[in-house]
Amino acid sequence: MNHPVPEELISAYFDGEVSPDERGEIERSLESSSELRQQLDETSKLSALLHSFPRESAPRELAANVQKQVNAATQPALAQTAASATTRRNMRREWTAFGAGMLATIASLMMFVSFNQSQFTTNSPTPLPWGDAPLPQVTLQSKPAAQEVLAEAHPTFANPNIETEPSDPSRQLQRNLSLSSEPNVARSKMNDHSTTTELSVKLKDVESLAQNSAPMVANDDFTGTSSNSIQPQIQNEFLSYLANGDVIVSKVADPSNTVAVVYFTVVDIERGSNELKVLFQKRSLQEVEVSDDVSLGKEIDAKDRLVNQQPSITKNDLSKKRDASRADEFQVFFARAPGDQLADTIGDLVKNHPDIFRNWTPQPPIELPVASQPPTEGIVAENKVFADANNKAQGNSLSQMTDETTTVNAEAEMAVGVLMARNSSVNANGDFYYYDANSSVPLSVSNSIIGNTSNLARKTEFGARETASAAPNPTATTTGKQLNGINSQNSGNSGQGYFRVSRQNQPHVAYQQSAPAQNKGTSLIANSIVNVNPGGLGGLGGGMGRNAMVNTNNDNRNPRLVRMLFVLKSEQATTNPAP
Amino acid sequence: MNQISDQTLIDHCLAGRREAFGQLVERYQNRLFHSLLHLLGSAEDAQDAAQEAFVNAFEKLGSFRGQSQFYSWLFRIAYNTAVSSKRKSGRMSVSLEARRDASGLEPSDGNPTSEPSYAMDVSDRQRLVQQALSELGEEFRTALVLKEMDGMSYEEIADIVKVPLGTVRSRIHRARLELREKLSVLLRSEVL
Repeated sequence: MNHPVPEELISAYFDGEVSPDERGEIERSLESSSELRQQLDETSKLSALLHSFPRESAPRELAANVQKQVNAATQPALAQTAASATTRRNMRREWTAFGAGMLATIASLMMFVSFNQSQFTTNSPTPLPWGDAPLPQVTLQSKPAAQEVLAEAHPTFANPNIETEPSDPSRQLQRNLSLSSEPNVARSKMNDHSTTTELSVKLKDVESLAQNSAPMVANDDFTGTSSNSIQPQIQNEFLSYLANGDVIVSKVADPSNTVAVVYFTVVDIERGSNELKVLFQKRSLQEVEVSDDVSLGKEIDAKDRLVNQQPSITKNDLSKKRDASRADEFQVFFARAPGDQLADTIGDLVKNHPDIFRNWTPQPPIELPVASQPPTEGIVAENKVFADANNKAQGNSLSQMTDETTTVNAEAEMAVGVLMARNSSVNANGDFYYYDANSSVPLSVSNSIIGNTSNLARKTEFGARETASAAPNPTATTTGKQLNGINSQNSGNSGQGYFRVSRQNQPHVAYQQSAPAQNKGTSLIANSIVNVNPGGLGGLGGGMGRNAMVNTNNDNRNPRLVRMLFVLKSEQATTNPAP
Repeated sequence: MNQISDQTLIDHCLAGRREAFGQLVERYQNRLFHSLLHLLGSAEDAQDAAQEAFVNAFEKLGSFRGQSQFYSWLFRIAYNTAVSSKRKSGRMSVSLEARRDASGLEPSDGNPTSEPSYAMDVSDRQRLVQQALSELGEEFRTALVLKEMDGMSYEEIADIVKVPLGTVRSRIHRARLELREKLSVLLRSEVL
């Protein structure tokens, strides 16, 4: 069958390697050609298959062998120099030269170590036998002991018992930390993010309270945010050593003295999302659109809007970021399927892939409401009905849900959106960059609507933007301040905020952020922010690429416990420096 | 974030601090090895190629101008090394022995469709995929591996293999077509 677009373009489209014109052409063709859709599906399945295997690590001896060869390559020259020097100098002079050389070597080594200490922010769990000295181990210097600073933040930190709330992850961490010489030991370290301001927000490893604690940095980059939003940034270097299933246990506290324990479990979202694709296909969930899409970040007009909204980000910066972000493509799932089926799919995904979702327990199945009387456009009251129904289905507190004040056109479909997204990157300075709507993996439903556009990515962004502008201030909740911040940030694309995925005539999915209670029934929520507030601690939607996290709080009522996953990026993304 | 940039490490290397090169090795060895493994089909070959590439990179470090990512430059060296090695050995695909070594399993009879897919475990599937990859033409396999396994952009791939962008696109497409055909049973199986 002849297609209006070459089949070759489907492959390129899958890779996000088509021009905007080609993209539009392909997407139009996809709508009319089941054969093309099948090709795209098969391409997706193949990709998932290729990514379904464990990533091979280099043999340990590789680095050692390289070292030997490099040393061998450089030593003859040194030896030749030394021999030449010997012929010209007497023994005393030789000793003098040797001593001077040694001093110079030591000095340079010290300089390097010092340099590293100022730059590196994490230990390497598997230091390489490189050079004449081991790689420098980073220690926190000139920082108060965690116990002290945490105790300063909140008296309860003086009591170490607070650390023992969750059992399994704690044991996992204990195992990891007790085997500190093994790979995959994750230790959070001081964040030296130069553009942030250190507040009295602390993060630490449970098992090494005094020794290895690291102040968290409250990220003031997010203008308009409340001071109780904490972004537990993970260092690039740190990420490099993480592996699937690693658990990082941290405590966070904010200036208001609310503290919480946060469990970060590393999950390879890339693999997870690929597996999810396969499941979608296998279960014939209809009208699934999968977009491994970079266009959210690349779309020109979207960028223009971003630049306008966030003047500190220049087009040039975005271009740099885009260049650096090729591995940070979105992986967005849109599903239009009964909620229980989707919930089952997610559950099975987790169940069948403990290798990916280790330490992760799916939430109870989500029962999304099937509205019998869809609200008509423009009738807020009926939308509220939907919102309430959704809230009820999710076990959320109605009082904490948002009242959609926007004009909506929800048609009461069993609409679900699943989003696994990675949408941040680093800019030229190595700082994280956030742009466009931020990601989450929401399974809750809201009712706002987006404009009618044929571009999936545009829809997504519009959805987020509309959501952002439409969301009210839930002042009745404990998180009103946060929501205000989120909303403004969301529309400003500055990195926080929740995300709503929407399609025309399809209720969006949205992460109803705020207190942990609202996490009940939400299976996958990408979180990048930990909010600590007097009413509890909750993860905010808004994945940020390599820092994207998924809240897996199974103890929703515990305001001091949040379990989060964060994306283990593909290796090139975690280890590549910014250009 | 505060990771030392590649260029800074390179500058340290060029200033005589060999240990900085160790950081680069540490940073990229897994990625390089992983891609080479799928490209060459043998852990041993991949290690050799990676090792040689790193050493060559160290020796040529002064010629790195920073016009491309260090990894792309490094991979180009590795790729050329692998191609050169292939010319010497006359092969760049997976031998049965290599497959056995790589996977720890006996190689199959070479026909993925004869495998009982329902009984496959991860190792079986991995072996079949690797086998199918090895049966692709070198240029197709290279393009696909760099895209799928290494996450490179088409532009970077084009730069490494020195072909036009359109050729990269075409090669990846053809590679996928072939691979889909070779792995059709596996792709249809329920064990995925």
